[in-house]
Amino acid sequence: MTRRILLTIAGPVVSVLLALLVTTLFLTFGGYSAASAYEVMWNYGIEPASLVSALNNAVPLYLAGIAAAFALRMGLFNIGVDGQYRVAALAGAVVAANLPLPLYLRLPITLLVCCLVGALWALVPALLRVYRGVSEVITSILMNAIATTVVAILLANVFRSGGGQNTGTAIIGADGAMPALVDLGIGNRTSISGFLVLAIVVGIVFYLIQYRTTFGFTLQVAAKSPEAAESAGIKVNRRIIWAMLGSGAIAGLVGLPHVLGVAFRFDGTLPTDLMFTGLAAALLGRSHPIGVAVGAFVLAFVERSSQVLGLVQLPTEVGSVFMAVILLSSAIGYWFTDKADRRLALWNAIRGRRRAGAQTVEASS
Amino acid sequence: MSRIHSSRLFAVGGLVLAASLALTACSGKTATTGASTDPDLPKVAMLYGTTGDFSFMDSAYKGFTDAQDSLDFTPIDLSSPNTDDYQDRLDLAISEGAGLAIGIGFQYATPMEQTTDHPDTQFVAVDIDKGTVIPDTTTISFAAEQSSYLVGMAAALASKTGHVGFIGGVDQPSIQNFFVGFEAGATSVDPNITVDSTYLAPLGDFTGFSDPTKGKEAAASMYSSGADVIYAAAGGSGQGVYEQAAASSTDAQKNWAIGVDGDVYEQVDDSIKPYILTSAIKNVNVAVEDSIKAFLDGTLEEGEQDFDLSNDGVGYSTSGGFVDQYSEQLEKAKADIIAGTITVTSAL
Repeated sequence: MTRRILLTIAGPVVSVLLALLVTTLFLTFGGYSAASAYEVMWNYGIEPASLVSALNNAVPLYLAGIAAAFALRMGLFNIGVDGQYRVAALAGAVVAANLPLPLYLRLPITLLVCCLVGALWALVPALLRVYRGVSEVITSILMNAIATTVVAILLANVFRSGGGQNTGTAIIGADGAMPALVDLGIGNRTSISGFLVLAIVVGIVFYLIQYRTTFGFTLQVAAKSPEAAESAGIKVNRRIIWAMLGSGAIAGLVGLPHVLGVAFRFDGTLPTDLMFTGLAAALLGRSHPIGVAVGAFVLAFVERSSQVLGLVQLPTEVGSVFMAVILLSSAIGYWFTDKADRRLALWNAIRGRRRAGAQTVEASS
Repeated sequence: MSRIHSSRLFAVGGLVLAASLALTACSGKTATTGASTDPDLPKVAMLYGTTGDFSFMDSAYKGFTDAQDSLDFTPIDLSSPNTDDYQDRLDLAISEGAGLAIGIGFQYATPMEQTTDHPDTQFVAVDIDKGTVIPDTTTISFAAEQSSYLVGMAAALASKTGHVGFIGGVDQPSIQNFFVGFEAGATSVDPNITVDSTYLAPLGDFTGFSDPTKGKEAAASMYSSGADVIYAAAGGSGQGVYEQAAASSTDAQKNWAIGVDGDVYEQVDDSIKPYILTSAIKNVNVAVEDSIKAFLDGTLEEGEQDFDLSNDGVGYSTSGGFVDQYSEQLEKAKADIIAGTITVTSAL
């Protein structure tokens, strides 16, 4: 048990260290002092307002990470989270602004619509994979490009509200937006968004489905060996569709914290890099709901604290470099801990057999 | 036995950690805080994206650095590649005690509107829609349609084929505004002229501003279909259009490109310079520098400032001398627009 926990922690720790190393190299060869950069970042990052902001910003990353993890556990790489959340966010913004219902009904319906739209967008690659054998990676990347065009056309011609440079949907009033969970009242903007609750609920549901149900177990079996799963009576194709639908449904929620909590409409300020950062969080956290949460917070913390670098004449790109390397190094960390894990299992098995052998020798003498 | 492996794991981890620590300790350019400069100097923060677009952001940054050379203040440079931290950067500028915060881009309209309590920090929002009212904020708008009108005239005057083109970076209202002005200017010279238009990316996909290859391809197909002057309102992608103007020119037909925002003639390689007819100028740098100057003089006023032809906030460049032969028509139109006898409609 301790071994498992140690190994789970070792992966992310190695990844973060590698990322720090590369970022340090980047800074040192750029002629900057890495120590002072980290010091400035850390001091700004641990301010209460920064921690609250990092927590709120970690929520969409977490959702994106969990969405990716849902498919990853079935061995599917849902690179279409990107398109799924953008299409769903547009749908959510329209529903939240126009549905003539009180908040306690409107909000759940908005969430549901987003899940449905996200799932539908993910259904296309799933069906193509099952019936035509096309790799879901290729099709979901293409679906992302289609999402860009569809969103552009719908936004420009159908849902556009108001003129000006910032093309967006109608403003969502207080009866459609996500209320704040709690305002800590320690300076500017220190209220924690209600989306934190949603993220926790999604995390728990993910855990229950993936780790505590037969369905989750069959997903893992099907991922490890489709043939074995098929001969054990598991319908692999159906699992593929459900895994993509689940992944897409969670992905549909990714854009909402911005739409219902920051911009209060769908417009040009919706971040477009949530999937890749979320994917880094999923890899860092080894697809485990708690690991992904830690990963998402670390990444949001780095993003927030690197904002301050411009103040001290250091390049703001440091944050981006760190994030990019995390993506790479988490893959290495993954491989590294996996290998170590297998070695350990082998050694334990040999040790067990030797001990058993010694006992038989004793007994026979 | 498991200990052997965990220790190997830790050894590698430790090595990485040690290496990073060693490097971290290396001395280099340390973080310089504002304390090293005179603490009594007023602080001016500029909030912007990333430089390197050969147009809008570069121009804003030039204004900021020019102001630093000529004026006495402590600069606070808040750039970020992210699109979700406008509010964070504004908060940071206030908490750092900036007396003036200049936000570059319409994205700052909402944060500046929502931040109602900023008694010690004046706000300037650059490139905001005309007619936007933000309390306690100076908003600066640019009449890009006016400069586009003039270069549209120049295009029509220079065109031998009676066919000109427009390449926009992203199909969004701010870029459509350039087209509307360009088309109006071109047809004012020749009502029968053909004006092609294309956008490199759909609404919301900002890669259209940073893809010279796409710009080059779009320009190639436009030139080959008969256009001989192309106006590129596409940020960094414009580079491809300028290159293609030179590449597709033949002895029989000389192709021209028109630049945007800055004076492109001054930015491109010497081999391309002969193909840059003119550029539609948007003096973001002047807006930034003037705001800082007004702030330091204590004369910065809240409310709307329009940068248009009348105050040289926008204009067209004459570098290379290719439009000198049309200067009479262009200057007359400019005077008419300022006087109001010609009204250029805006797409915004």
